[in-house]
Amino acid sequence: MFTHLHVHSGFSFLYGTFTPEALVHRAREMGFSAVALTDKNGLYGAIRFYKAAAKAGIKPIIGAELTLYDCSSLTLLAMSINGYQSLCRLLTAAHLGNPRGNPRCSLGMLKKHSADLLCLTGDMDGKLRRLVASSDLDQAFEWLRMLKGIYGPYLYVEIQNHGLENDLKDMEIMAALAESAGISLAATNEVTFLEKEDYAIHRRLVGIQRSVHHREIQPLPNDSFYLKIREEIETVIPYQEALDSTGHIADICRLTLPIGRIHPPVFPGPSGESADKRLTSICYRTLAKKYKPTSLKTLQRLEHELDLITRKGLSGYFLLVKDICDFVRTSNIRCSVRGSAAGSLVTYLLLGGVDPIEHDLLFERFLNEGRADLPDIDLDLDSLRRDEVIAYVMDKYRGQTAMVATIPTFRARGAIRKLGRALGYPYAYIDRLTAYLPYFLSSAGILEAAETLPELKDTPLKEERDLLETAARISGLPFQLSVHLGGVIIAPEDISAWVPVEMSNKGFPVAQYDKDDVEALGLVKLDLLGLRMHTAVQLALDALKEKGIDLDLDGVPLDDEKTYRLLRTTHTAGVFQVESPGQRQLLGRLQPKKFKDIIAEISLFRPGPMEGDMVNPYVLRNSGKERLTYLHPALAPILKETHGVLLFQEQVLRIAHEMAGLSYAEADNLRRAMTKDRSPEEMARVKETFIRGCLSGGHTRELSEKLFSMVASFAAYGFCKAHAASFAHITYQSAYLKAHHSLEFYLGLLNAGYVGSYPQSVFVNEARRSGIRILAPHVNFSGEVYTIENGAIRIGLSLVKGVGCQFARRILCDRAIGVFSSIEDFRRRVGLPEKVIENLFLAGAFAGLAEKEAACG
Amino acid sequence: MDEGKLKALLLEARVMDVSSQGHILEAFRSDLAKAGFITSATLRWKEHDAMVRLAGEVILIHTPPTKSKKRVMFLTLEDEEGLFDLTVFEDVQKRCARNILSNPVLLIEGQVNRFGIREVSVVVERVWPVKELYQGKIGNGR
Repeated sequence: MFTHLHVHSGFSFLYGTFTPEALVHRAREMGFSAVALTDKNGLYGAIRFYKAAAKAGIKPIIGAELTLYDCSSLTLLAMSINGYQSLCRLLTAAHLGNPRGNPRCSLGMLKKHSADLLCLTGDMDGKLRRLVASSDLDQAFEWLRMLKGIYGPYLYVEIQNHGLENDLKDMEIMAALAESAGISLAATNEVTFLEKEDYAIHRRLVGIQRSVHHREIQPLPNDSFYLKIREEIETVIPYQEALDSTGHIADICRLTLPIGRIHPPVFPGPSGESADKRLTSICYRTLAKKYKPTSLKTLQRLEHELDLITRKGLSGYFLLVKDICDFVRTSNIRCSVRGSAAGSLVTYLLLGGVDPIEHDLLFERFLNEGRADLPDIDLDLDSLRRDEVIAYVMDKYRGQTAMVATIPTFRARGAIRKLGRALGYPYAYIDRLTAYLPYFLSSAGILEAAETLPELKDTPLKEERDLLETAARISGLPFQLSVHLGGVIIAPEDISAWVPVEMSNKGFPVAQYDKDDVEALGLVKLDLLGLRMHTAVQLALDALKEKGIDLDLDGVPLDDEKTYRLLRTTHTAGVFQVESPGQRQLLGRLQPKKFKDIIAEISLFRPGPMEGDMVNPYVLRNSGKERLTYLHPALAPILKETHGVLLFQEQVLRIAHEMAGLSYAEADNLRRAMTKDRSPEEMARVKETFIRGCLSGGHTRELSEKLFSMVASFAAYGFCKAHAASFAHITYQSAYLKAHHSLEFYLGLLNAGYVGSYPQSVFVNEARRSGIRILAPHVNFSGEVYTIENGAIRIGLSLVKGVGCQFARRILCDRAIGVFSSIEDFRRRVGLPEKVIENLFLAGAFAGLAEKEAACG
Repeated sequence: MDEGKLKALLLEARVMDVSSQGHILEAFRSDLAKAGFITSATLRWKEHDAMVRLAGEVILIHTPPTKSKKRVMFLTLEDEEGLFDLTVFEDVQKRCARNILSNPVLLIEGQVNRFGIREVSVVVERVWPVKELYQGKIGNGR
């Protein structure tokens, strides 16, 4: 059986023309039982490929085409998990040992990381082929001997015939060399597109590399580099042995990735003390401090949580997160827990946040017996200082950590711009082509959009049919590796044994895998996310401190009437999560009076509840305009808090637990099955379990059916209450600041960068409308950023175009010697470009100085 | 039109994204008032279904997915007295989408949609760029 062993997908960025999923689909259609993926210098698409192949019943062979020290290439395939680890280490060494974007493998690296790897000698760019082409046969033979020394029987001479001038001749020579060196042949076709017709797409993608990224790269010479059937290969490669050996190679590549198992890191605690013991002792100590007196129910809850955490071997993971939070706290960095983790008492005791007992948050949404994957504990951090936290983690767990990658794919606007440049169109014309093109339109939707969107009625894009079609066809293809905003992987040991690592722009190591891949491998991924609202709040608190007010915002009670009054007025621009037009409208209808109303507000304003028409019943019942009824009295304790509307995911779990008698693990499985790509078969199975449970609990079939229908329709729309509660706390805190300390609140917002929905100009105008004076920037009074000056806000120098932080600091530095007496004095002392001085003048930054200049002059 | 104010604001806008002097709509307010345009503060007190005219600087344009799959544009505009929200349905987009997407300041006419006692939005029926106010293309709306 012939197997394709040299395949470049779209994860050979801007080169291959298909996704790994499309490869698997096409290979299956063509009757292949195995196929390889060998992207250039990376395993970027390997996990997606592996999962898709497993689902389709095709054997995945994972490998990569590596660039060597002399720019030639070599193809390596993993024969086992050891081989996969060798490949990860080799790729990591090639990336980290060379300038960013230019990975190169030395011979030393090949020798060091060769275990369980199978080597193909490479394509047209392979060193063997190059030496043969230049008739340097002695060197070619020597190169083969050297590779054989590394890979032994797992070295194959790769032969290809793409119909190029010397293909047949070179193939003959290579076959002869292989025979004399005692090495087997393997036939490959360097698949870069799935269909012959996609050659044009490949050329365009390479065109983008050349014109946008200025890389010296040539497209493939013809359209023969597609996924051929065996018969097509046979007609051009007359070496039966070479074709057969691909099947043999497919047989000996038996990689099984550790997918579906979890691999938490070991937390290095004090010697002699187990992680379980340490976690338990910290939790009980903190419990005694936070709950006075501690109720039996709370104690039982803690015992239950600790029992599950320790049985699942997750104590080290919790301690690790605590360690990070301790650093955050001692460094005075604002931080909050997001997601379902906020529903855990252990998390609350270790990391703080909203009280899960007071707000009735369910632990089982976060962690339960049945959960096989690692529970996420995600942290929102002051965005200005997030990098300090990442640096701490990278330093403390050196060699075990990397940032998670994100791999962006083409969208309409970007695709048109890049393809336009590849075609050599002038920028002005490209601007015209993309004018009015929505930013978030997928490339696949571009053809329809051009026909239907009224603003595109007269667009010149319609004349560019070829460009439009190419943009549509590259939809979904990845084009580069980027760094996730805050995802950090912590591996149980050397990370390069798990995933290839590169270097990011900021100098942090970044994995070649995205969050889904990392999750599939069972590695711990912490989301250390930057939240600008935390920055704004911290800056406001700093300003208050300067004024002599040391506000303990985290300790402020959650019943402040002035704060709720502000929320009810809907004047909430700048308040976390409730400032967008839709949220303001909902606030106007909900008229929040308690903290639980803020939780509901945040949960209701989501696509799910909006689409599921949950908002109207909630609002009407909340205001007493609609009668509240339950399907069964037993639902009252579960749904009362949301006026009978099934709003939270936790309520789905409770209904399945209380009414159908399912364990929380079963209930959570049911919730997930109902929310994630549910198939009719899966749904039928879930329904049967639920109804059987209800019937055993003594409920009628009619009620059971109705209950299931309610849960099934709303499960997809429900929101995690713990997450909403955590966010609601930040909403409350920001609203509290706006209600009580609006001057400092606006200052914080303005100096935190782009916070929330609105541009800075709106916050400046809002501040003015609330009675705060806004002062123009001034070379003698302004700081670098916004400052408070006698109850007014003074615009900072860096806000003037062309000034920026660097020039602003220069001005401040010179002003420290003495204030500027005239523009001339300023010009002489600071020495900025004339254009910048002109901008400062237009902004009013020399007000009152011009006369002095005249007097001096 | 308050030409002095407008000139000062435009000069400032050349070099900063924020203004220490006020809102651009202040310069047009007297002419807008003559043509029947109200401010966002007045809008808050208007009855449900009332026809209104407003003018503002475009702050946000949002086109979220909708249940009906039809595109609805949600806009937030700002005048000197505050923010106000608009909804533009498909039939109006056919006539006005280009205007909406290419002008920093819009003049609109539409019907008030009230959400409870505090919050209103306007369902837009007509949209003009500000220059049409001075080209006599708008009329006084009465």
